[in-house]
Amino acid sequence: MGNLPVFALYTDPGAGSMMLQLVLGGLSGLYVYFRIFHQRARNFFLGKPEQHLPEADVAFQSGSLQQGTKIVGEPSSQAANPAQKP
Amino acid sequence: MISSFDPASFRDPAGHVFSLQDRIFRYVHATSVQDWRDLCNSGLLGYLQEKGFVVATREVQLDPALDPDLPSTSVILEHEKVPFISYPYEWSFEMLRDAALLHLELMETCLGKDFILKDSSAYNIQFIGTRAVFIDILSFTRPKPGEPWLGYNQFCKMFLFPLMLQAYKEVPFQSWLRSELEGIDPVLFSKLMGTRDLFRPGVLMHVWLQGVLQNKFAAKKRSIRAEIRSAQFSKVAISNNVRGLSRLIRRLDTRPPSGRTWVNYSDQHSYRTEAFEKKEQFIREAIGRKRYRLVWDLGCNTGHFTELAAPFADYLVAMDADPFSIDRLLSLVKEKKIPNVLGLVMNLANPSPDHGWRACERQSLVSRGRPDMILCLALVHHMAITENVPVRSFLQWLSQFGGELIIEFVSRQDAMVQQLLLNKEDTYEDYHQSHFESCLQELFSIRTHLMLPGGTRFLYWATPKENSVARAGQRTQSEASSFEIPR
Repeated sequence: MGNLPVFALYTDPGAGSMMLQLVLGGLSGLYVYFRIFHQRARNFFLGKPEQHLPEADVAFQSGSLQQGTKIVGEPSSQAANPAQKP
Repeated sequence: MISSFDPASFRDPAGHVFSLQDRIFRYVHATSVQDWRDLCNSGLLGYLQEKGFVVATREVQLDPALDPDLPSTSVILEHEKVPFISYPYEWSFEMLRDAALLHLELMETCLGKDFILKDSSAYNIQFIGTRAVFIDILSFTRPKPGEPWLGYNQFCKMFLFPLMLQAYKEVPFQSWLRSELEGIDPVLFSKLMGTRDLFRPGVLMHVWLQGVLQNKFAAKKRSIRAEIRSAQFSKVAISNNVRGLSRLIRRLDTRPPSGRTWVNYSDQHSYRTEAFEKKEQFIREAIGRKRYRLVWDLGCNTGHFTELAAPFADYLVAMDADPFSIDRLLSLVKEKKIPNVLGLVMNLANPSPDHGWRACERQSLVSRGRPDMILCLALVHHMAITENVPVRSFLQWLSQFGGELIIEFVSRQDAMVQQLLLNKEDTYEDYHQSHFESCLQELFSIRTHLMLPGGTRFLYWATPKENSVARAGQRTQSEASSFEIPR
Protein backbone atom coordinates (compact mmCIF):
# COMPACT_ATOMS: atom_id res chain seq x y z
CA MET A 1 0.00 0.00 0.00
CA GLY A 2 3.04 2.17 0.27
CA ASN A 3 2.75 3.42 -3.31
CA LEU A 4 -0.91 4.37 -3.11
CA PRO A 5 -1.87 8.01 -2.73
CA VAL A 6 -3.47 8.67 0.64
CA PHE A 7 -6.93 9.33 -0.81
CA ALA A 8 -6.87 5.93 -2.53
CA LEU A 9 -7.02 4.21 0.85
CA TYR A 10 -10.49 5.69 1.37
CA THR A 11 -11.88 5.39 -2.12
CA ASP A 12 -14.40 2.89 -3.41
CA PRO A 13 -13.34 1.35 -6.69
CA GLY A 14 -16.81 -0.14 -7.11
CA ALA A 15 -18.48 3.26 -7.74
CA GLY A 16 -17.18 3.57 -11.30
CA SER A 17 -18.28 0.02 -12.05
CA MET A 18 -21.79 0.85 -10.85
CA MET A 19 -21.92 3.85 -13.18
CA LEU A 20 -20.69 1.68 -16.04
CA GLN A 21 -23.67 -0.59 -15.57
CA LEU A 22 -25.91 2.26 -16.65
CA VAL A 23 -24.29 1.92 -20.07
CA LEU A 24 -24.13 -1.87 -20.08
CA GLY A 25 -27.75 -2.22 -19.03
CA GLY A 26 -28.99 -1.15 -22.44
CA LEU A 27 -31.98 1.18 -22.69
CA SER A 28 -33.05 0.35 -19.13
CA GLY A 29 -29.66 1.48 -17.88
CA LEU A 30 -29.64 4.66 -19.91
CA TYR A 31 -33.07 5.52 -18.54
CA VAL A 32 -31.61 5.36 -15.02
CA TYR A 33 -28.69 7.51 -16.18
CA PHE A 34 -31.03 10.29 -17.24
CA ARG A 35 -33.07 9.95 -14.07
CA ILE A 36 -29.95 10.46 -11.97
CA PHE A 37 -29.09 13.68 -13.78
CA HIS A 38 -32.69 14.77 -13.62
CA GLN A 39 -32.60 14.25 -9.84
CA ARG A 40 -29.32 16.09 -9.52
CA ALA A 41 -30.66 19.06 -11.50
CA ARG A 42 -33.85 19.12 -9.48
CA ASN A 43 -31.96 18.94 -6.20
CA PHE A 44 -29.67 21.73 -7.36
CA PHE A 45 -32.53 24.08 -8.22
CA LEU A 46 -34.57 23.17 -5.15
CA GLY A 47 -31.51 23.56 -2.94
CA LYS A 48 -31.69 19.96 -1.60
CA PRO A 49 -28.48 18.30 -0.43
CA GLU A 50 -26.86 15.61 -2.57
CA GLN A 51 -27.62 11.98 -1.73
CA HIS A 52 -24.80 10.57 0.23
CA LEU A 53 -26.53 8.63 2.96
CA PRO A 54 -25.00 5.36 4.04
CA GLU A 55 -27.07 2.24 3.74
CA ALA A 56 -28.14 2.08 7.40
CA ASP A 57 -29.62 5.58 7.21
CA VAL A 58 -31.57 4.80 4.05
CA ALA A 59 -32.91 1.63 5.63
CA PHE A 60 -33.80 3.61 8.73
CA GLN A 61 -35.61 6.29 6.73
CA SER A 62 -37.47 3.78 4.62
CA GLY A 63 -38.55 1.90 7.75
CA SER A 64 -37.00 -1.39 6.71
CA LEU A 65 -34.82 -1.60 9.83
CA GLN A 66 -36.46 -3.79 12.43
CA GLN A 67 -37.91 -2.17 15.50
CA GLY A 68 -35.50 -2.15 18.35
CA THR A 69 -32.45 -2.08 16.10
CA LYS A 70 -29.86 0.01 17.79
CA ILE A 71 -27.80 2.36 15.68
CA VAL A 72 -24.66 3.31 17.48
CA GLY A 73 -23.56 6.94 17.33
CA GLU A 74 -24.87 9.77 15.23
CA PRO A 75 -26.28 8.22 12.08
CA SER A 76 -25.19 10.39 9.21
CA SER A 77 -22.78 13.16 9.98
CA GLN A 78 -19.69 11.02 10.41
CA ALA A 79 -20.46 8.20 8.01
CA ALA A 80 -21.52 10.54 5.22
CA ASN A 81 -17.97 11.54 4.62
CA PRO A 82 -15.73 8.52 5.09
CA ALA A 83 -12.72 10.41 3.79
CA GLN A 84 -12.58 12.30 7.09
CA LYS A 85 -12.20 9.13 9.14
CA PRO A 86 -8.76 8.63 10.59
CA MET B 1 -16.18 -25.18 17.73
CA ILE B 2 -15.62 -21.64 16.56
CA SER B 3 -11.95 -22.44 16.26
CA SER B 4 -12.76 -25.12 13.70
CA PHE B 5 -14.33 -22.68 11.22
CA ASP B 6 -12.72 -22.94 7.83
CA PRO B 7 -9.94 -20.33 7.77
CA ALA B 8 -11.18 -19.11 4.36
CA SER B 9 -14.71 -18.55 5.64
CA PHE B 10 -14.46 -15.22 7.40
CA ARG B 11 -15.36 -12.47 4.93
CA ASP B 12 -19.14 -12.86 4.88
CA PRO B 13 -20.75 -12.39 8.30
CA ALA B 14 -23.86 -14.21 7.00
CA GLY B 15 -22.35 -17.53 8.05
CA HIS B 16 -19.27 -19.68 8.30
CA VAL B 17 -18.19 -23.08 7.07
CA PHE B 18 -16.82 -25.68 9.45
CA SER B 19 -16.07 -29.37 9.34
CA LEU B 20 -16.89 -32.05 11.86
CA GLN B 21 -16.05 -35.72 11.55
CA ASP B 22 -15.11 -35.30 7.89
CA ARG B 23 -18.44 -33.68 7.06
CA ILE B 24 -18.91 -30.10 5.83
CA PHE B 25 -21.35 -27.80 7.60
CA ARG B 26 -22.31 -24.16 7.36
CA TYR B 27 -23.52 -22.10 10.26
CA VAL B 28 -26.11 -19.51 9.16
CA HIS B 29 -26.20 -16.32 11.16
CA ALA B 30 -29.63 -15.21 12.40
CA THR B 31 -29.64 -12.21 10.02
CA SER B 32 -29.41 -14.50 6.99
CA VAL B 33 -31.85 -17.21 8.04
CA GLN B 34 -34.68 -15.49 6.14
CA ASP B 35 -32.66 -15.55 2.90
CA TRP B 36 -32.08 -19.29 3.40
CA ARG B 37 -35.76 -19.95 4.06
CA ASP B 38 -36.75 -17.89 1.00
CA LEU B 39 -34.25 -19.77 -1.15
CA CYS B 40 -35.78 -23.09 -0.11
CA ASN B 41 -39.43 -22.02 -0.22
CA SER B 42 -39.12 -20.34 -3.64
CA GLY B 43 -38.09 -23.66 -5.16
CA LEU B 44 -34.94 -22.02 -6.53
CA LEU B 45 -32.55 -24.13 -4.46
CA GLY B 46 -34.29 -27.35 -5.46
CA TYR B 47 -34.16 -26.37 -9.13
CA LEU B 48 -30.47 -25.42 -9.01
CA GLN B 49 -29.56 -28.62 -7.15
CA GLU B 50 -31.48 -30.69 -9.64
CA LYS B 51 -29.55 -29.07 -12.49
CA GLY B 52 -26.28 -29.73 -10.61
CA PHE B 53 -25.45 -26.00 -10.47
CA VAL B 54 -25.08 -25.79 -6.69
CA VAL B 55 -23.56 -28.18 -4.22
CA ALA B 56 -26.05 -30.56 -2.59
CA THR B 57 -27.22 -28.91 0.64
CA ARG B 58 -29.65 -29.78 3.40
CA GLU B 59 -30.61 -28.34 6.76
CA VAL B 60 -29.58 -30.52 9.69
CA GLN B 61 -29.89 -30.64 13.44
CA LEU B 62 -26.51 -31.01 15.06
CA ASP B 63 -26.16 -32.73 18.37
CA PRO B 64 -25.25 -29.83 20.73
CA ALA B 65 -22.79 -32.16 22.43
CA LEU B 66 -20.78 -32.22 19.20
CA ASP B 67 -20.18 -28.51 19.29
CA PRO B 68 -21.28 -26.63 22.40
CA ASP B 69 -19.97 -23.32 21.03
CA LEU B 70 -22.59 -23.02 18.29
CA PRO B 71 -25.58 -20.84 19.19
CA SER B 72 -28.60 -23.05 19.78
CA THR B 73 -30.81 -20.79 17.63
CA SER B 74 -28.63 -20.90 14.55
CA VAL B 75 -29.48 -22.83 11.40
CA ILE B 76 -26.94 -25.43 10.32
CA LEU B 77 -26.61 -26.65 6.76
CA GLU B 78 -24.69 -29.67 5.57
CA HIS B 79 -23.02 -29.64 2.15
CA GLU B 80 -21.89 -32.45 -0.08
CA LYS B 81 -18.13 -32.73 0.35
CA VAL B 82 -16.08 -31.59 -2.63
CA PRO B 83 -13.54 -34.40 -3.20
CA PHE B 84 -10.57 -32.07 -3.75
CA ILE B 85 -10.57 -28.29 -3.28
CA SER B 86 -9.09 -26.27 -6.12
CA TYR B 87 -8.55 -22.56 -6.68
CA PRO B 88 -8.96 -20.31 -9.76
CA TYR B 89 -5.19 -19.94 -10.12
CA GLU B 90 -5.01 -23.70 -10.64
CA TRP B 91 -7.70 -23.79 -13.32
CA SER B 92 -7.19 -23.86 -17.06
CA PHE B 93 -8.80 -21.35 -19.41
CA GLU B 94 -11.75 -23.63 -20.12
CA MET B 95 -12.28 -24.30 -16.42
CA LEU B 96 -12.37 -20.59 -15.63
CA ARG B 97 -14.72 -20.06 -18.57
CA ASP B 98 -17.02 -22.84 -17.30
CA ALA B 99 -16.98 -21.26 -13.84
CA ALA B 100 -17.76 -17.79 -15.28
CA LEU B 101 -20.64 -19.12 -17.37
CA LEU B 102 -22.03 -20.98 -14.35
CA HIS B 103 -21.96 -17.77 -12.35
CA LEU B 104 -23.79 -15.87 -15.11
CA GLU B 105 -26.31 -18.67 -15.55
CA LEU B 106 -27.02 -18.54 -11.81
CA MET B 107 -27.44 -14.75 -11.99
CA GLU B 108 -29.90 -15.05 -14.85
CA THR B 109 -31.90 -17.77 -13.09
CA CYS B 110 -31.84 -15.86 -9.80
CA LEU B 111 -33.12 -12.63 -11.32
CA GLY B 112 -36.10 -14.49 -12.73
CA LYS B 113 -36.97 -15.63 -9.21
CA ASP B 114 -36.29 -12.26 -7.56
CA PHE B 115 -32.94 -13.33 -6.13
CA ILE B 116 -29.41 -12.15 -6.80
CA LEU B 117 -25.88 -13.28 -5.97
CA LYS B 118 -24.47 -10.73 -3.59
CA ASP B 119 -20.87 -11.21 -4.69
CA SER B 120 -18.95 -12.70 -7.62
CA SER B 121 -15.99 -14.40 -6.04
CA ALA B 122 -14.49 -17.13 -8.20
CA TYR B 123 -13.71 -18.92 -4.94
CA ASN B 124 -17.46 -19.58 -4.59
CA ILE B 125 -17.11 -22.17 -7.33
CA GLN B 126 -15.51 -25.58 -7.09
CA PHE B 127 -15.09 -28.45 -9.52
CA ILE B 128 -16.38 -31.96 -8.92
CA GLY B 129 -14.64 -33.77 -11.74
CA THR B 130 -15.18 -31.53 -14.75
CA ARG B 131 -18.46 -30.11 -13.41
CA ALA B 132 -18.39 -26.60 -11.95
CA VAL B 133 -20.59 -26.23 -8.86
CA PHE B 134 -21.47 -23.18 -6.80
CA ILE B 135 -20.75 -23.75 -3.12
CA ASP B 136 -21.58 -20.50 -1.32
CA ILE B 137 -25.27 -20.92 -0.56
CA LEU B 138 -25.37 -17.70 1.47
CA SER B 139 -24.51 -15.66 -1.61
CA PHE B 140 -28.16 -15.98 -2.66
CA THR B 141 -30.12 -13.05 -1.35
CA ARG B 142 -33.12 -10.90 -2.21
CA PRO B 143 -32.07 -7.92 -4.37
CA LYS B 144 -32.54 -4.51 -2.83
CA PRO B 145 -34.98 -2.47 -4.91
CA GLY B 146 -33.27 -0.20 -7.44
CA GLU B 147 -29.72 -1.41 -6.79
CA PRO B 148 -27.28 -2.28 -9.57
CA TRP B 149 -25.36 -5.58 -9.65
CA LEU B 150 -22.88 -5.06 -6.83
CA GLY B 151 -20.80 -8.06 -7.91
CA TYR B 152 -20.11 -6.76 -11.42
CA ASN B 153 -16.73 -5.24 -10.58
CA GLN B 154 -15.64 -8.43 -8.83
CA PHE B 155 -16.90 -10.55 -11.72
CA CYS B 156 -14.67 -8.62 -14.11
CA LYS B 157 -11.66 -8.88 -11.80
CA MET B 158 -11.97 -12.59 -11.11
CA PHE B 159 -13.42 -13.99 -14.33
CA LEU B 160 -13.60 -11.66 -17.31
CA PHE B 161 -10.19 -9.98 -17.17
CA PRO B 162 -8.21 -13.20 -16.56
CA LEU B 163 -10.00 -14.80 -19.52
CA MET B 164 -9.31 -11.75 -21.69
CA LEU B 165 -5.66 -11.75 -20.60
CA GLN B 166 -5.25 -15.23 -22.04
CA ALA B 167 -7.51 -14.79 -25.07
CA TYR B 168 -6.32 -11.35 -26.19
CA LYS B 169 -2.74 -11.12 -24.91
CA GLU B 170 -1.78 -14.83 -24.78
CA VAL B 171 -0.60 -14.35 -21.21
CA PRO B 172 -1.59 -17.13 -18.78
CA PHE B 173 -3.71 -15.71 -15.97
CA GLN B 174 -2.78 -18.27 -13.34
CA SER B 175 0.27 -16.54 -11.89
CA TRP B 176 -1.53 -13.19 -11.67
CA LEU B 177 -4.51 -14.72 -9.87
CA ARG B 178 -2.17 -16.58 -7.54
CA SER B 179 -0.56 -13.37 -6.35
CA GLU B 180 -3.67 -11.16 -6.46
CA LEU B 181 -6.37 -13.18 -4.75
CA GLU B 182 -8.96 -10.50 -5.50
CA GLY B 183 -8.30 -10.68 -9.23
CA ILE B 184 -7.07 -8.20 -11.84
CA ASP B 185 -7.82 -4.55 -11.18
CA PRO B 186 -9.61 -2.71 -14.04
CA VAL B 187 -7.21 0.27 -14.00
CA LEU B 188 -4.14 -1.97 -14.13
CA PHE B 189 -5.67 -4.19 -16.78
CA SER B 190 -6.63 -1.24 -18.99
CA LYS B 191 -2.96 -0.22 -19.02
CA LEU B 192 -2.13 -3.49 -20.77
CA MET B 193 -4.57 -2.81 -23.59
CA GLY B 194 -3.16 -1.17 -26.71
CA THR B 195 -5.13 0.85 -29.27
CA ARG B 196 -5.76 -2.25 -31.37
CA ASP B 197 -7.15 -4.08 -28.36
CA LEU B 198 -9.88 -1.45 -27.97
CA PHE B 199 -11.56 -2.95 -31.03
CA ARG B 200 -11.66 -6.43 -29.54
CA PRO B 201 -15.03 -7.52 -28.12
CA GLY B 202 -15.69 -6.15 -24.64
CA VAL B 203 -12.46 -4.21 -24.18
CA LEU B 204 -13.78 -0.71 -24.79
CA MET B 205 -16.61 -0.99 -22.26
CA HIS B 206 -15.63 -3.57 -19.67
CA VAL B 207 -11.93 -2.69 -19.52
CA TRP B 208 -11.14 0.80 -20.77
CA LEU B 209 -14.31 2.59 -19.70
CA GLN B 210 -14.42 0.77 -16.38
CA GLY B 211 -10.83 1.83 -15.71
CA VAL B 212 -11.66 5.45 -16.57
CA LEU B 213 -14.83 5.48 -14.47
CA GLN B 214 -13.12 3.77 -11.56
CA ASN B 215 -10.59 6.57 -11.44
CA LYS B 216 -13.22 9.25 -11.97
CA PHE B 217 -15.68 8.12 -9.31
CA ALA B 218 -13.35 6.59 -6.76
CA ALA B 219 -12.85 9.72 -4.71
CA LYS B 220 -16.34 11.24 -5.13
CA LYS B 221 -17.86 12.24 -1.85
CA ARG B 222 -21.41 11.43 -2.87
CA SER B 223 -22.81 7.91 -2.71
CA ILE B 224 -23.15 6.68 -6.28
CA ARG B 225 -24.87 3.59 -4.97
CA ALA B 226 -27.56 5.66 -3.23
CA GLU B 227 -28.08 7.79 -6.33
CA ILE B 228 -28.54 4.76 -8.57
CA ARG B 229 -30.85 3.15 -6.06
CA SER B 230 -32.89 6.30 -5.85
CA ALA B 231 -33.18 6.42 -9.66
CA GLN B 232 -34.42 2.78 -9.53
CA PHE B 233 -31.97 0.66 -11.50
CA SER B 234 -33.99 -2.21 -12.94
CA LYS B 235 -33.45 -5.95 -12.98
CA VAL B 236 -33.86 -5.80 -16.75
CA ALA B 237 -30.71 -3.67 -16.96
CA ILE B 238 -28.80 -6.18 -14.80
CA SER B 239 -30.09 -9.01 -16.95
CA ASN B 240 -29.00 -7.24 -20.14
CA ASN B 241 -25.48 -6.88 -18.76
CA VAL B 242 -25.38 -10.52 -17.64
CA ARG B 243 -26.51 -11.78 -21.04
CA GLY B 244 -23.97 -9.54 -22.79
CA LEU B 245 -21.18 -10.91 -20.60
CA SER B 246 -22.28 -14.45 -21.28
CA ARG B 247 -22.17 -13.89 -25.06
CA LEU B 248 -18.77 -12.21 -24.77
CA ILE B 249 -17.24 -15.00 -22.67
CA ARG B 250 -18.55 -17.72 -24.97
CA ARG B 251 -16.85 -15.96 -27.90
CA LEU B 252 -13.43 -15.69 -26.26
CA ASP B 253 -11.01 -18.02 -27.94
CA THR B 254 -7.59 -19.27 -27.01
CA ARG B 255 -5.24 -21.63 -28.73
CA PRO B 256 -1.75 -22.77 -27.85
CA PRO B 257 1.10 -20.92 -29.55
CA SER B 258 2.59 -22.98 -32.38
CA GLY B 259 5.45 -25.25 -31.37
CA ARG B 260 4.06 -25.64 -27.85
CA THR B 261 6.03 -28.42 -26.19
CA TRP B 262 3.62 -30.24 -23.93
CA VAL B 263 0.42 -30.25 -25.89
CA ASN B 264 2.17 -31.82 -28.83
CA TYR B 265 4.10 -34.18 -26.64
CA SER B 266 1.71 -37.10 -26.62
CA ASP B 267 1.57 -36.92 -30.40
CA GLN B 268 5.30 -36.52 -30.91
CA HIS B 269 6.90 -38.50 -28.10
CA SER B 270 9.95 -40.53 -28.93
CA TYR B 271 8.56 -43.88 -27.79
CA ARG B 272 8.39 -46.79 -30.06
CA THR B 273 4.89 -48.28 -30.09
CA GLU B 274 6.12 -51.46 -28.41
CA ALA B 275 7.60 -49.48 -25.53
CA PHE B 276 4.39 -47.52 -25.13
CA GLU B 277 2.36 -50.72 -24.92
CA LYS B 278 4.76 -52.20 -22.34
CA LYS B 279 4.44 -49.02 -20.30
CA GLU B 280 0.65 -49.23 -20.37
CA GLN B 281 0.80 -52.88 -19.33
CA PHE B 282 3.17 -52.17 -16.43
CA ILE B 283 1.00 -49.36 -15.10
CA ARG B 284 -2.20 -51.33 -15.48
CA GLU B 285 -0.74 -54.27 -13.57
CA ALA B 286 0.70 -52.09 -10.80
CA ILE B 287 -2.33 -49.90 -10.21
CA GLY B 288 -4.96 -52.52 -10.99
CA ARG B 289 -4.35 -54.59 -7.87
CA LYS B 290 -6.70 -52.56 -5.68
CA ARG B 291 -8.82 -49.45 -5.57
CA TYR B 292 -7.23 -46.20 -4.41
CA ARG B 293 -8.96 -43.38 -2.57
CA LEU B 294 -7.03 -40.51 -4.14
CA VAL B 295 -4.59 -40.77 -7.04
CA TRP B 296 -2.38 -37.92 -8.25
CA ASP B 297 -1.10 -38.01 -11.80
CA LEU B 298 1.83 -35.57 -11.79
CA GLY B 299 2.91 -34.23 -15.16
CA CYS B 300 -0.18 -35.75 -16.72
CA ASN B 301 0.33 -34.20 -20.16
CA THR B 302 -2.87 -34.67 -22.17
CA GLY B 303 -4.12 -37.48 -19.98
CA HIS B 304 -3.47 -40.83 -21.68
CA PHE B 305 -2.35 -42.49 -18.44
CA THR B 306 -4.88 -40.50 -16.42
CA GLU B 307 -7.60 -42.26 -18.38
CA LEU B 308 -5.89 -45.59 -17.78
CA ALA B 309 -5.66 -45.05 -14.01
CA ALA B 310 -9.08 -43.44 -13.42
CA PRO B 311 -11.07 -46.70 -13.11
CA PHE B 312 -8.89 -47.72 -10.14
CA ALA B 313 -9.38 -44.48 -8.17
CA ASP B 314 -12.26 -42.97 -6.23
CA TYR B 315 -10.90 -39.61 -7.37
CA LEU B 316 -7.96 -38.69 -9.52
CA VAL B 317 -6.28 -35.28 -9.62
CA ALA B 318 -4.20 -34.81 -12.74
CA MET B 319 -1.68 -31.95 -12.73
CA ASP B 320 0.50 -30.36 -15.34
CA ALA B 321 2.33 -27.05 -15.57
CA ASP B 322 0.93 -26.42 -19.02
CA PRO B 323 -2.63 -24.98 -19.03
CA PHE B 324 -3.21 -26.17 -22.59
CA SER B 325 -2.43 -29.75 -21.60
CA ILE B 326 -5.06 -29.50 -18.88
CA ASP B 327 -7.57 -28.17 -21.39
CA ARG B 328 -6.86 -31.10 -23.71
CA LEU B 329 -7.10 -33.51 -20.77
CA LEU B 330 -10.47 -32.05 -19.79
CA SER B 331 -11.87 -32.31 -23.28
CA LEU B 332 -10.81 -35.97 -23.32
CA VAL B 333 -12.36 -36.59 -19.91
CA LYS B 334 -15.60 -34.87 -20.92
CA GLU B 335 -15.75 -36.72 -24.21
CA LYS B 336 -15.27 -40.09 -22.52
CA LYS B 337 -17.56 -39.12 -19.63
CA ILE B 338 -15.01 -39.99 -16.94
CA PRO B 339 -16.62 -38.64 -13.77
CA ASN B 340 -13.79 -38.79 -11.24
CA VAL B 341 -10.96 -36.77 -12.82
CA LEU B 342 -10.03 -33.22 -11.84
CA GLY B 343 -7.37 -31.44 -13.89
CA LEU B 344 -5.20 -28.72 -12.33
CA VAL B 345 -2.53 -26.37 -13.67
CA MET B 346 0.39 -26.87 -11.31
CA ASN B 347 4.09 -26.23 -11.62
CA LEU B 348 5.43 -28.89 -9.30
CA ALA B 349 8.67 -27.00 -8.80
CA ASN B 350 6.53 -24.25 -7.27
CA PRO B 351 3.29 -25.87 -6.06
CA SER B 352 0.49 -23.74 -4.61
CA PRO B 353 1.49 -22.50 -1.14
CA ASP B 354 -0.55 -21.59 1.94
CA HIS B 355 -1.40 -17.93 1.49
CA GLY B 356 -4.00 -15.19 1.82
CA TRP B 357 -5.05 -13.81 5.19
CA ARG B 358 -2.87 -15.23 7.98
CA ALA B 359 -1.34 -17.45 5.32
CA CYS B 360 -4.14 -19.96 5.75
CA GLU B 361 -6.99 -18.54 3.69
CA ARG B 362 -6.00 -20.58 0.64
CA GLN B 363 -4.40 -23.91 1.40
CA SER B 364 -1.27 -25.33 -0.10
CA LEU B 365 -1.52 -28.23 -2.51
CA VAL B 366 0.00 -30.68 -0.06
CA SER B 367 -2.41 -29.84 2.75
CA ARG B 368 -5.52 -30.48 0.66
CA GLY B 369 -5.30 -34.23 0.53
CA ARG B 370 -2.89 -37.13 0.80
CA PRO B 371 -2.77 -39.31 -2.29
CA ASP B 372 -2.45 -43.04 -1.67
CA MET B 373 -1.05 -43.49 -5.17
CA ILE B 374 1.09 -41.11 -7.23
CA LEU B 375 1.74 -41.53 -10.93
CA CYS B 376 4.90 -39.72 -11.92
CA LEU B 377 5.65 -40.55 -15.52
CA ALA B 378 8.37 -38.88 -17.59
CA LEU B 379 8.66 -36.08 -15.04
CA VAL B 380 11.84 -36.64 -13.01
CA HIS B 381 14.14 -35.38 -15.78
CA HIS B 382 12.17 -32.14 -16.00
CA MET B 383 12.32 -31.63 -12.25
CA ALA B 384 16.04 -32.42 -12.11
CA ILE B 385 17.33 -30.81 -15.30
CA THR B 386 14.81 -28.09 -16.19
CA GLU B 387 13.97 -27.03 -12.63
CA ASN B 388 17.25 -27.94 -10.92
CA VAL B 389 15.49 -29.86 -8.16
CA PRO B 390 17.83 -32.53 -6.76
CA VAL B 391 16.60 -36.07 -7.40
CA ARG B 392 16.71 -37.00 -3.72
CA SER B 393 14.75 -33.90 -2.74
CA PHE B 394 12.04 -34.63 -5.28
CA LEU B 395 11.69 -38.23 -4.09
CA GLN B 396 11.53 -37.01 -0.50
CA TRP B 397 8.70 -34.69 -1.47
CA LEU B 398 6.85 -37.61 -3.08
CA SER B 399 7.38 -39.85 -0.06
CA GLN B 400 5.91 -37.39 2.45
CA PHE B 401 2.37 -38.42 1.48
CA GLY B 402 2.91 -42.01 2.56
CA GLY B 403 1.38 -43.40 -0.63
CA GLU B 404 2.46 -45.75 -3.37
CA LEU B 405 4.38 -44.53 -6.36
CA ILE B 406 4.67 -45.45 -10.02
CA ILE B 407 7.60 -43.51 -11.37
CA GLU B 408 9.50 -43.40 -14.64
CA PHE B 409 13.21 -42.63 -14.87
CA VAL B 410 14.39 -41.35 -18.23
CA SER B 411 18.12 -41.94 -18.62
CA ARG B 412 20.71 -39.56 -20.05
CA GLN B 413 20.83 -41.63 -23.23
CA ASP B 414 17.19 -40.82 -24.02
CA ALA B 415 16.59 -38.32 -26.84
CA MET B 416 14.34 -36.13 -24.66
CA VAL B 417 16.97 -35.78 -21.91
CA GLN B 418 19.65 -35.05 -24.48
CA GLN B 419 17.45 -32.32 -25.88
CA LEU B 420 17.08 -30.81 -22.39
CA LEU B 421 20.86 -30.84 -21.98
CA LEU B 422 21.62 -29.41 -25.42
CA ASN B 423 22.24 -25.85 -24.28
CA LYS B 424 22.89 -26.38 -20.59
CA GLU B 425 26.06 -26.93 -18.70
CA ASP B 426 25.83 -30.47 -17.39
CA THR B 427 26.10 -30.05 -13.63
CA TYR B 428 23.57 -32.78 -12.90
CA GLU B 429 25.87 -35.28 -11.31
CA ASP B 430 22.99 -36.79 -9.35
CA TYR B 431 21.04 -37.53 -12.49
CA HIS B 432 22.01 -41.17 -12.93
CA GLN B 433 19.90 -44.26 -12.64
CA SER B 434 22.08 -45.72 -9.88
CA HIS B 435 21.66 -42.62 -7.70
CA PHE B 436 17.95 -42.44 -8.49
CA GLU B 437 17.50 -46.09 -7.50
CA SER B 438 19.43 -45.74 -4.28
CA CYS B 439 17.33 -42.72 -3.24
CA LEU B 440 14.15 -44.54 -4.20
CA GLN B 441 15.17 -47.60 -2.17
CA GLU B 442 15.98 -45.41 0.79
CA LEU B 443 12.48 -43.90 0.85
CA PHE B 444 10.31 -46.62 -0.67
CA SER B 445 10.26 -50.37 -1.17
CA ILE B 446 10.61 -51.16 -4.86
CA ARG B 447 8.05 -53.83 -5.70
CA THR B 448 8.64 -54.24 -9.42
CA HIS B 449 10.61 -52.47 -12.11
CA LEU B 450 10.93 -52.69 -15.86
CA MET B 451 13.28 -51.46 -18.54
CA LEU B 452 11.26 -50.37 -21.54
CA PRO B 453 12.30 -51.51 -25.03
CA GLY B 454 14.86 -49.04 -26.29
CA GLY B 455 16.79 -49.27 -23.02
CA THR B 456 16.56 -45.61 -21.98
CA ARG B 457 13.45 -45.56 -19.83
CA PHE B 458 12.79 -47.42 -16.57
CA LEU B 459 9.55 -47.89 -14.68
CA TYR B 460 9.26 -48.55 -10.95
CA TRP B 461 6.32 -49.45 -8.76
CA ALA B 462 7.21 -48.62 -5.16
CA THR B 463 5.32 -48.78 -1.89
CA PRO B 464 6.02 -46.67 1.21
CA LYS B 465 8.32 -47.87 3.95
CA GLU B 466 6.70 -47.93 7.35
CA ASN B 467 8.76 -45.08 8.75
CA SER B 468 9.20 -43.10 5.53
CA VAL B 469 6.41 -40.61 6.27
CA ALA B 470 7.92 -39.56 9.58
CA ARG B 471 11.42 -39.30 8.16
CA ALA B 472 10.26 -37.33 5.14
CA GLY B 473 8.35 -34.93 7.42
CA GLN B 474 11.51 -34.23 9.42
CA ARG B 475 13.47 -33.64 6.24
CA THR B 476 10.89 -31.27 4.84
CA GLN B 477 11.22 -29.07 7.91
CA SER B 478 14.94 -28.69 7.44
CA GLU B 479 14.80 -28.79 3.68
CA ALA B 480 17.36 -26.07 3.03
CA SER B 481 20.07 -27.73 5.04
CA SER B 482 19.31 -31.29 4.01
CA PHE B 483 20.36 -31.03 0.38
CA GLU B 484 23.14 -33.56 0.44
CA ILE B 485 23.38 -33.90 -3.29
CA PRO B 486 26.89 -33.86 -4.66
CA ARG B 487 26.63 -30.90 -6.99
